[in-house]
Amino acid sequence: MRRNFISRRVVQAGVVVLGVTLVAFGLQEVMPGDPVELLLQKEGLFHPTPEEIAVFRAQLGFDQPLPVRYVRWMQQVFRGDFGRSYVSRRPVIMEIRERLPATLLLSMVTLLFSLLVGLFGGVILAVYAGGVLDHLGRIFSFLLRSLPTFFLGTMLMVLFAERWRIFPTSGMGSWRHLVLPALVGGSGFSVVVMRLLRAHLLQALGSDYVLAARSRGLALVWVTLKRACANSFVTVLSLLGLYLGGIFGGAPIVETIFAWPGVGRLLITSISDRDFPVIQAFVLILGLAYVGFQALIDWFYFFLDPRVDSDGE
Amino acid sequence: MFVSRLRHVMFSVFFVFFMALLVVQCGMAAEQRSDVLIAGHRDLVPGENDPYYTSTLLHVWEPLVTRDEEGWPAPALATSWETSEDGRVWTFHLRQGVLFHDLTPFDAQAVVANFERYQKISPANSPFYPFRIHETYPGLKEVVAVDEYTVRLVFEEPVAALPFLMVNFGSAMFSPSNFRDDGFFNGFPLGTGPYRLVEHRKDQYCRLEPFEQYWGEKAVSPVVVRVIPQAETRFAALKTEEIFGVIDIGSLTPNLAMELLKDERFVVEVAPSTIAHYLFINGTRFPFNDVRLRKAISLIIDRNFIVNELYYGYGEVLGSILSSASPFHVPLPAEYNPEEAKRLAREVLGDRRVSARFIFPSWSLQRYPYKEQTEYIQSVLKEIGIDANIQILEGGAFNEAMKAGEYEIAMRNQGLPSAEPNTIFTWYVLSNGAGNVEYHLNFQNAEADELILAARREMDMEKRFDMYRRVQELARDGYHWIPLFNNVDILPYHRRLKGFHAMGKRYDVTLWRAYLE
Repeated sequence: MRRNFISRRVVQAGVVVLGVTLVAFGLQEVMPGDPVELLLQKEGLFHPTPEEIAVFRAQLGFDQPLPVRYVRWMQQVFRGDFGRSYVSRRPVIMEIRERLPATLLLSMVTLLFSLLVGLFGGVILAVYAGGVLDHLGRIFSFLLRSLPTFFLGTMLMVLFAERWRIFPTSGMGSWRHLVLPALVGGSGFSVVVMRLLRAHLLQALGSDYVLAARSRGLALVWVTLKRACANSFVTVLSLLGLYLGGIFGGAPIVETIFAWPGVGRLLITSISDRDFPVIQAFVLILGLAYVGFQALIDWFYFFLDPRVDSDGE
Repeated sequence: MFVSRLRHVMFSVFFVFFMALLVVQCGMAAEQRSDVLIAGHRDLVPGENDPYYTSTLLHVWEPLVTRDEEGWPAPALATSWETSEDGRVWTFHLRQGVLFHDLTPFDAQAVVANFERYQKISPANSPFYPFRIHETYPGLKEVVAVDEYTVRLVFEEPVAALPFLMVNFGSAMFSPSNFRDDGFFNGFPLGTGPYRLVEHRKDQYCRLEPFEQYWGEKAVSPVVVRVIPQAETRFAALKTEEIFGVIDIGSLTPNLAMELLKDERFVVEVAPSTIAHYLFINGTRFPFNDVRLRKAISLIIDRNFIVNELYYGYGEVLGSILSSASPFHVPLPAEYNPEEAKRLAREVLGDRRVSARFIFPSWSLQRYPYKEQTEYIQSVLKEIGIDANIQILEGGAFNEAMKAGEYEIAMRNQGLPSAEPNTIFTWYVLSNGAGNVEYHLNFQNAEADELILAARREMDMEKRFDMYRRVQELARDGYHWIPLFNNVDILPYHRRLKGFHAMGKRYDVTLWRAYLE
């Protein structure tokens, strides 16, 4: 049964990855604007001659038919080579590798912050459901969820950096540089975790095994933490899988606001520059990360609860 | 059983995170502080595969020819130059006693090596100015070292405006030991400028140290230039004194500059910019192919309102198609006459109203209040019977729409590719010019064509100036490319930052004089 479960997941992952490569490569055909002309024009500053366009087109391999380019690209990818950036002319993998540590650092701190706030908040809201704290928490989470990242980031910067001088406005250097981006980046996810955990805990707290534990005289906090939370964590775990899959893409808006030198900013500039080797590498890496983390989470499910059968149910 | 497994998994997850966090944190060097901290919206150090490695703003390298504060070509590493009567041979006399950052001498052989490199790398892309040898040095036959400090450039055809083409990015000089086989850089740039690039973290910051053996006025302080993409963040960083000045185009939006001036710690200087804003009219279809309607569009727009209300005075009304930063700019009046505009529109449209697709690129929103600007223009166009439908298009889509002629009115800024305006006239005014044809402007004028082509060979500066004056008048009267206003470069800085000033029409700052009090 376990072998069936794993082999099916591997086949599914393979199909998804193949689809991702097609999407990643197909982007250059469907996105408007000729990358060669955009590169040479520099926002309309220049008008390249047809000869120059032809030279650049050949240099970038655009003179070949699409299937040929796709096969060549796949061969490169299998060798771990994502090609060279059209803009910087450096290997794409180098461009990403330089920025990935910054993105991973920010993502991990953001995740820790989100989980701490989300889990703690979720438990508190569930334990005090219907009370003042619960109502305040609902309003707070509603506000946090609805505020655009750009607005929240600017507001926090004005208050914590410009007015109170507690944290720096931007850049990367010490732990203090991490606080505002992590707060802004993690606000949305922490609210989701909080609300989800609250809902599951309330359901669990009303279940027979909790009632039985309480009837044996166990304290509510103990029962919540020991019994109900444990069962609700599985739901949080699936959310975690989605979050982890996305961290390689960075957080473009947060990185731009706080001048954080991560991959998100690279992605934004690459899209506007039509730097397809970079975009393709991103799409593929993100796709692989999602598939990989989802497989990992599935495996965790299986590990945590062997009742998960070969249909994954 | 279940709880213990869960605990095990959670512990493993957190352990892995903390270890990764530790590893990542250890791998990062803390940003070094320096005497002068400034910022720009983009990385001014594109790196070893860029034709220039750094922007001219960092003063790491120097050109043979620069521009003075009025925009005219001025000596830099070439102290003087002369041309043969037919304009085919140009001789440049080089500055003596100049060293590259690797302490090798700058001489005629080094210049020849740089020209050999130009041949190899052209056409080379750059975020500043793409390097294209056939445009900067059209028909270049040979480059000869006449003696140790004299270089001769020989061309197939007369190149009347060569020094204009060579300004700054057109003639950057580097040590010959600085090049790889493919012509790009093998390490940090080895120029002759007052600053050496000593550290660079991509998209974060670069650090410049004074070059002690610099031939001219030596730099005062080390400088760190940070990359802060968002204008609001640069504003906040100035207020918190994390940075003391901002450089490069789009340094601060006009509204933020006004806000900054409320704080007496700051000064805002302005300088004429090579960038101007225009409306492009698709002149291939009725009624926009009628010059009277295009003129009506020009007359109904109050450019003073745009400059004063939307740009807080940070701009200059423009009546000529050539930016006021060009030494060949002719200050033609920008007429605002709503009554005449309505009369002309009625002549063309009668009582009818027409719809117009009014587009602009989304990237412009990061630097300019284009949304408000288009909304103002949309409102006044209603008065002459044009119902403009504003569409903000992503850069590639905007370009594609213009090329396909799927627009009636487009708004965009346009910079000057060099100090020589012939290039821009060739694109937009010449009947078969690339921009004129590609963007469906449909401007046809035999006199303008003749003048543009003749000016390329005209060695007499006064005659060439007159030719360009006439071209500007003819182009203005075609109203296919309607000038709105000229940008100004905004240079905000903290009063503690001394010696940091704008340099007229040079798109430059006196970085080497800057120090923190």
